Amino acid sequence: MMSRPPCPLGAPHLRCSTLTDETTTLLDPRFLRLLERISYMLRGRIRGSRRGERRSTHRGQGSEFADHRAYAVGDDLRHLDWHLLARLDSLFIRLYEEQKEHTVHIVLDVSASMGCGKEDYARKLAAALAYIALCGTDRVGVFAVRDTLEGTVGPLRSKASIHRVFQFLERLEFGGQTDLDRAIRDVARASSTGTVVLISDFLVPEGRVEALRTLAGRGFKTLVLHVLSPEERNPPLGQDLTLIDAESGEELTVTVDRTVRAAYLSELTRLTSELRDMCRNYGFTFVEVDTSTPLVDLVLGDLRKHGVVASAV
Amino acid sequence: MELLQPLGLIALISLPLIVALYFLRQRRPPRRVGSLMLWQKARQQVFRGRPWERFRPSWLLFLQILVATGIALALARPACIAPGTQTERLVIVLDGSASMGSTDVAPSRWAEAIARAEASIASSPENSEVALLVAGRLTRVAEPFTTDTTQLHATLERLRERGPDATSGSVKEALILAMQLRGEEGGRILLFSDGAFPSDALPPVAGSVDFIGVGERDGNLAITTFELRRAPSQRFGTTVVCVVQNTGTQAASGHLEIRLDGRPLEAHRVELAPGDSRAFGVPVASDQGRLTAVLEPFPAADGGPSDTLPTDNEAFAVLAPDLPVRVLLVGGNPLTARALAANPRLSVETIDAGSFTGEFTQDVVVFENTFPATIPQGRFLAIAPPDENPLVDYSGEELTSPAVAAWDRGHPVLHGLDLSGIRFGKVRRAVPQNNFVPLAEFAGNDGPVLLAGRTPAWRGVVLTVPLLETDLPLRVAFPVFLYNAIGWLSPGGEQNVGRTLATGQPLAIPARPGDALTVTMPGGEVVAHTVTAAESDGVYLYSDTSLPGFYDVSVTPQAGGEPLTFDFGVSLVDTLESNVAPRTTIALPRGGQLDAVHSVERVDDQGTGVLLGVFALLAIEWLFYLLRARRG
Repeated sequence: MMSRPPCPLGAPHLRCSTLTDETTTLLDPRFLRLLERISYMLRGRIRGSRRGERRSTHRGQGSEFADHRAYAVGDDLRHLDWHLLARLDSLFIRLYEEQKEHTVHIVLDVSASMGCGKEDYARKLAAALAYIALCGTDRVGVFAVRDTLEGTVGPLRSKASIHRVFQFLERLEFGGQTDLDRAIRDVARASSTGTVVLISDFLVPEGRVEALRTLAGRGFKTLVLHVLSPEERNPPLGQDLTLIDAESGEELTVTVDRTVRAAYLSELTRLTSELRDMCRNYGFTFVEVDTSTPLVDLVLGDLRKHGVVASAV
Repeated sequence: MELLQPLGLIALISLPLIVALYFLRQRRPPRRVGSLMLWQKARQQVFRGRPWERFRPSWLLFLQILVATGIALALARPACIAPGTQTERLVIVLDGSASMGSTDVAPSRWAEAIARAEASIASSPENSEVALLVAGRLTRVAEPFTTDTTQLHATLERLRERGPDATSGSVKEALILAMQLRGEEGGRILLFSDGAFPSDALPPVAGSVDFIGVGERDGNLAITTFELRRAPSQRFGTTVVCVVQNTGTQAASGHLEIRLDGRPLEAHRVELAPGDSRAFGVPVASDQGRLTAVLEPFPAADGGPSDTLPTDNEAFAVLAPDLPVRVLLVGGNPLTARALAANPRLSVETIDAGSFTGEFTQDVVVFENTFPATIPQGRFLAIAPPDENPLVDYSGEELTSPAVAAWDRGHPVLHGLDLSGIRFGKVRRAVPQNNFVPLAEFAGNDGPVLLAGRTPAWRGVVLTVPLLETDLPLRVAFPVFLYNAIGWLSPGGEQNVGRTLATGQPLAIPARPGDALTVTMPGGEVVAHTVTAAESDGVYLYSDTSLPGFYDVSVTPQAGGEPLTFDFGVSLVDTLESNVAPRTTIALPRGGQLDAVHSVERVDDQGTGVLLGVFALLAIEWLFYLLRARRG
């Protein structure tokens, strides 16, 4: 039996809503309370294996009638539709829609490029999304990736497990080089079906396309969060700088004048468009995230607008 | 505007360096970013691999370039050059030599030099002290230091009218005098000259003298020699030698005519290449008359004047029998009298030793075995003076058969003589007295046999040996010796045949103290003078021969009698003065030189002003920097 993570307040059996007030500095308690009223919106039915509360593509034992089929030897007679037998003198079995458990896989890019001013925001974003999932009775797994799968927690169930997510996220160290393709393949191998939330800046020369293709091939419902800082989205003019690549250490002198900035923005737009187009093709949801945007605005604004979450209010 | 130190502009090489530094990629503050992926692609898109940054207009760069340019300009010491002088003490030296009479600049170099001198005086600071020197035949102070410009202009006007001397100049002496005049108080010396003077032995005046060059052309056809020559074998007649030279750098031609008393003797067409000369010899049968050579240059091939100096186009000479030399023989023996009588030029009068009173009117006195107690004023030949005499001391031992070991072959008295074979009997050793120097000496340091001496009051030759103690009177050398000695002692004895002089050369006139002298100059001006004792040793040197032409001389003896009259011709026959090419530099001792300038100039150094401008620019740059720093 899995041991429950110790409560920082020494009260392991407190209700989750109480825990959020005191146990973490990652997210503001008021924001956590707000998140409790938000849930994931799932498009279509899921293909789960465990029973849960999400509608699935499986037919079997459930509470909601789905269809009839002809009786076959060995069928459970408890599902025999007696009314039809009486009316049509034929044997039909009542089919019910099975409700399965849904798993949210939060994949967080912890490479050095994400460590350049975006790490806190990424941690909080991952924590918020995990909390939403746990509050919605979904299972949550968190994966830290850089050039490979660096660490994982979960899948966890129930709000009480949010401690472990928070601890995992807080202990994460950002650094190293990115290999999204390899890391995502590792994630895909380590996880069952569900929803993948991929949080990354995608500032890698190679592997972006392959990573998304892998997710699509494995049938994950995917939410792609493209996280960039304001300086990355709109570098200020008039700077004479020596830029140092956080991952490779490579240097580049550059004067950010109008021409250079225009060229940079053009390249950024090209990258974003590439990601958006791929996501559209694979049926993924693509959201651009600016780290200057307050988290609450992101969740209640952009994510709700893209149909990722729904508020109960 | 000129640059006094053009090498300072080397600092301008800093300009491309500044611009290059601006273009080169600079070390910039590092900034860590997530990835260079987008930046690299953006740079590739913009620069396409160029090593240089795109030029960005910058006020700072503009100011830096201005400051660097200003510093380079200040180092080069820009200066405004304006006519005039800065000094308040000027010594103006005008070259008054014959070449300054050249007419290549209208009306003449002399007038041009005076005009420029006037301009220099006018442009000098107010109340400047100016002195005027003229370096003509003699250096003369035309005007001592004065601040009166009216007086200076009047003096210059007089000089302009007088013209330069037709002689060589005395620039060296004038510069020395100018340096002395300038003294320790300093000031500038302005030399207005065409540079046609010998530059050797000039004082080291570099840095003290401004050489204002005058003259433009060098064409000149000149008579550089005009002499009368009579060969010893030529008993009758004389040859006129006339040399014409083209001192210019272009071929020149002209017409040369030689006249005797105004009648043409011979005429030639002269065509000379640059620098060439041609000599003409014209025999003249007559033994008297005035000879004139007249050269008429033809215009140059380019239509311009081929001759810029008219003074040297005429030459003058007087063809006349030699003036008789009056000789008084005192106590002479027959050998001496006969030897003197062999010279037809001499008029000999013989008296006893006791009859000589100490006063004489003859040109030369020959004393034999006698001599006055004091040296008489005039010219004399003493043969074996007695024991008590002021010429030699006979107190030495007696010599027997001494031989002459050495003699001065270059002295006119010993011209053409060989004394080696002369025999002597018993003679006494002589020691020279009173400025006499040996001309011939016995072997073994046995004293002189022949002496010569001169002072302003007398000129004499002494033969220390009695004629009876030597075989000299029996030799051909004896009359030759007497001929040479009388020739050297007589007035005009050192002159050429005929009476012709170069301008500036003094004329020896036989005149004794108290004689009245009258010289009629070529222009008709008459100079009258009474000869003083300090001026004559029997010969008076008349030096004012600066005008070419014929001079008439009349000497009236104080003692009475017929006045002596004769004439002579003076010509500018000076190759150096006829070479009128204006010089652009004058070499000075110790490697220095004077470069000719057109006019004296005042140099106002603007370097300080430029430096102040640079500092102002630096202040603006500093302000600019502060504003940028405050703006962040």
